[in-house]
Amino acid sequence: MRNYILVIGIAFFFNSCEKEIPLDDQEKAPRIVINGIFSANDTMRIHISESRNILYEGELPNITNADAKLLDANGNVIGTFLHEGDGYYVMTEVIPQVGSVYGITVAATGFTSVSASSYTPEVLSSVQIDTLRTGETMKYEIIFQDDPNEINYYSLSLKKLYYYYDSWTGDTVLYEDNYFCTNEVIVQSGYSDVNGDICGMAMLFSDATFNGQNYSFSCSNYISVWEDTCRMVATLSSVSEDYYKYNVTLAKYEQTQGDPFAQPVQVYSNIENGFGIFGGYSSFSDTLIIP
Amino acid sequence: MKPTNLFLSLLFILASQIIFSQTKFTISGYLKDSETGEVLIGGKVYVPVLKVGAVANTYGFYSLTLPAGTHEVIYTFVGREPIKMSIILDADLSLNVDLKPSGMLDEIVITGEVSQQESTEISTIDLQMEKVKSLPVLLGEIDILKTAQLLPGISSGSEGSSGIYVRGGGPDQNLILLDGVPIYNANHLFGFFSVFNADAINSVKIVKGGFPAEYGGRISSVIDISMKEGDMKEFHGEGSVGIISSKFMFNGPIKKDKTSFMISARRTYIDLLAKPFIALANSKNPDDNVSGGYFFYDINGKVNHIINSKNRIYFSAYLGDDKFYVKNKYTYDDAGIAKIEESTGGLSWGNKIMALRWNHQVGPKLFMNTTLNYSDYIFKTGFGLEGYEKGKQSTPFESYSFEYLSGITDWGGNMHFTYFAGPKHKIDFGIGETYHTFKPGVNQLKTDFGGTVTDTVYGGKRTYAHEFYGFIQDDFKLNRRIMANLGVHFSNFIVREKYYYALQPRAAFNFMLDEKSSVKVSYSRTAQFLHLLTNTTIGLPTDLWVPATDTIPPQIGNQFAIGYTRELNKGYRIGSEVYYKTMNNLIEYKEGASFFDTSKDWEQLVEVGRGFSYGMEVLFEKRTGKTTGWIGYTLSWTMRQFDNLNQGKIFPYRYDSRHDISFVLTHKFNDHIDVGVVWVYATGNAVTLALQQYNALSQDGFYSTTVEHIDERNNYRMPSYHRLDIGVNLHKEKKWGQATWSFGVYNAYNRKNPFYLEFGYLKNSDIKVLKQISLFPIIPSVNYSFKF
Repeated sequence: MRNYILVIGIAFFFNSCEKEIPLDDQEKAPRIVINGIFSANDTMRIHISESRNILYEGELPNITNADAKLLDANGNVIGTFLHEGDGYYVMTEVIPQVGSVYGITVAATGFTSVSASSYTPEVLSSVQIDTLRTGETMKYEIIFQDDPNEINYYSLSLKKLYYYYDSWTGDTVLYEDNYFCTNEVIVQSGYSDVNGDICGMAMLFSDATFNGQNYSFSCSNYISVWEDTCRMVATLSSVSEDYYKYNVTLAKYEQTQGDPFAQPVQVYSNIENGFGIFGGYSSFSDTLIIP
Repeated sequence: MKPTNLFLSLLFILASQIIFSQTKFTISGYLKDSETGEVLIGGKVYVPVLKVGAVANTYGFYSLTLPAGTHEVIYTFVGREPIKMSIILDADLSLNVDLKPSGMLDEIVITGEVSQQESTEISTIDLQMEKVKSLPVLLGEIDILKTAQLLPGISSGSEGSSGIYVRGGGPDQNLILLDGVPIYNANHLFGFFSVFNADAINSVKIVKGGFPAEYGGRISSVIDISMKEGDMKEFHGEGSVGIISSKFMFNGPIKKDKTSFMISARRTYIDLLAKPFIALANSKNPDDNVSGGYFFYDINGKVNHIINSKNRIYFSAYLGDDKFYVKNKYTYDDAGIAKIEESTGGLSWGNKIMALRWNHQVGPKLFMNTTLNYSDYIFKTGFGLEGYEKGKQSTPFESYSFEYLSGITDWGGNMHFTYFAGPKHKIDFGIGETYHTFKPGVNQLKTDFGGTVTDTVYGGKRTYAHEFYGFIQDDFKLNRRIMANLGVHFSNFIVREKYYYALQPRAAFNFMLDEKSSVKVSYSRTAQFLHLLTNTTIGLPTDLWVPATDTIPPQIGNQFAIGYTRELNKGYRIGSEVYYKTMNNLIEYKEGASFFDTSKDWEQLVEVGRGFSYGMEVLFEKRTGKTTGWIGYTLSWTMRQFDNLNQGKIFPYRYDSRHDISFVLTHKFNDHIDVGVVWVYATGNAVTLALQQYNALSQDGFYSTTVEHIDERNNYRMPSYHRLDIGVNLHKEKKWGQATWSFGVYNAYNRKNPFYLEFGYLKNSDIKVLKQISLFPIIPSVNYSFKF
């Protein structure tokens, strides 16, 4: 790389000049960051930290003294988050319910207050999972009915749990592998492999091409003959629009890191005056025993 | 005399008067330079008493129909002595007129050009090559596109670039024609210079709006460049030797007054100049040997043959290439075995065009041009790595090579007719067809690691398309004060069994307020069946020309413009225009899309959206006397909107520049010395910068990603750009011709203008800052040119 730069520099005969462009105070001011993904029927746990201006080099601090409140659909305070440690806050007063709207406000000394709202979609009432094993490839058809009355967003994950005998230690260890692939063109997350399939640990997609229909989502993963007593936990979540946009853009952002040829990615945020995400989802899970 | 005879005589006289007064005849012919025989494109023929005139077309042909009788006719062209002649018109007359060069524009010429106010041309500039050659420029390299950037409504985009952004349009939206053939990449040296050798150019016409119906295929501008044809009478040559390039042009008769030729060539020698420095660097590190360089060349050629008074043929060709290469050979010891690792890398791009044209004068009022053309643009980049034992290069133990190729090839033809119905009425019509072959982004990857070989081709398949069009336009005078140009351009595009068509009405009206001022109004609808995919993250010529397809629709433009111009005393002119322009079906790369993404076709990597721009342009010129020049000012807004970019919100185009000012002045002290001064100012470009960072946690909380947050696309304004250039030309007459020494200073007050911004560290500092990288400091130049 040094030699390439040397040749270019010599070839042009010029010394390029550099100077600092100062950032104004507005651009430097830190803001509150919320990492707040929550699920219906599960304790709400969020993380609050600080952003820093782009020139900062160091650990990004957590906020441990925030005043974080949970609101209902009408903006009424229904609970106060309690700080557990390391910037994590837990809601003990309210368990999010399916099909509900929640809001959050966070205030901290020295910061502009932030707020956001999201919802927990209705759970899918029935999901059918068909499987077919061919050698070491396990194929799945996940069949579900989409609600025709609204735009729906989904997240699918397949968690493989298996025991593996480690001949070196003599132990049989429980492993977890979340990696699977699909050739569904509707997926907006994941990495493309050499076969043109999309692979990853969660598949995000919307009902734009199958609204109101009974849809069959195909995917597959790898099961080695050495993997014993294998179980597959398939989770199909209905996710909020905020959750969907955030995770799709974040996945794209992560994929493009270190690629100088990639277009910049704007990671979605629904936090007003801040950054991060406050997004809800509801899940349907099924565990399959793989013979 | 008997009463009957008297009556019959009177009747005869009356009848002959009536017949004679209604009889019209046509003067037609070619306007040429008396010394070189070069046609004078845009030369004017004017009859002051009747206040009618005509303009010579691209081939120097004019036609003017007048009532029978005696007329005083003035022939004029900028920089030539006008000719007034008295013509007795009692039959159609073929009259070729040769105009002599003059040292300076004077009032007589301006009088002859009063008819400019009568033209329906709006948003149109005719660049004078004498002006282009007299202005101070970067490294002494005269460049017509850089001169065009000094005019209102036309900006360069970035430092040193010869890219053209016209009224908020993109660089792909300019129809750049060289002798009627489109050029796809008009840049040398990564955009620092254009491919046009000014010595080979006769005329340049730039249309920013109010497009006549004869033009189609692009939605923002037309840059119509005509090459010189060659001196029909004597051999002449011109050349220059500069800091980084030299050029030479030679032209003359093959057969006097019948056939002429022109050939010009230019090459840089940056690679040769860099060799000693590279050798010096290598001498300090014998195990690590680097070689490399950069060069560009271009060659223009033309042959012009007059078959007879009604037929001429021309053959013109252009060939040009840019090549950047680097090679590194590293020798190392691996467990006592000497091994070599050789890496290579390079970029090259180039255009080839050819045109064969036939002019035929069907009659005194009907002129026809038929053109067959070929255009080929190709861009290649690649890198390779090979490892082998010393002395065993033929059997490497590892090799890896990657090549990326893109391009576009056109075969086409057209027929264009001009019917000079009368002095107030000219009709143009024609048809054309182009067969496009698009090669958008083909990747080839070859690897050989220990005998395991792969050879894979990825990426865009060739796409073939037919583009054909027809047009008709009528340029006419409604009355003494109102002129109009109404037309329609109808184009069709067939690609992959998908058929697109676009009916594009064009209208321009000129309301003459008085002899010296006019108001012009225009509307144009334009269609473009090609897109240029531009990668904004890297400054390399990696742009891809791609067609409209069944999934990506063609671009559509609509532009309204209103302008006012006034001729003032002593050669001054002031003009102002306001415009509003919409652009639909623009494409941009999707967020996260990578230029080298081999797993998807380009269509899967883009979003479709729209743009709009509006603004006001003012041009105040002094066009005569020893001191000439202009002040141009543009106030403009240019925005884009894509549903899936920037969260659907409107954002400024990267090259949205609120204020743009140019000041151009040339002063001729005498025939030996002239000076030029250029000062430009532009509001900084809009770039995308992340200004905040935060941690995004995974759902299970086990890992986090530090996100550099981008609030809005193109959210940050670079500092403004301004620069002063000064040049002086010293001419000396020699026995064999003329020699000129040109001395110039680019960026005379050494302004550190922004080239790009990045986050990093200044020298000798460990504090991270936002850095502005500047490219060109104060740069003196010296250039020796000659003419014989």
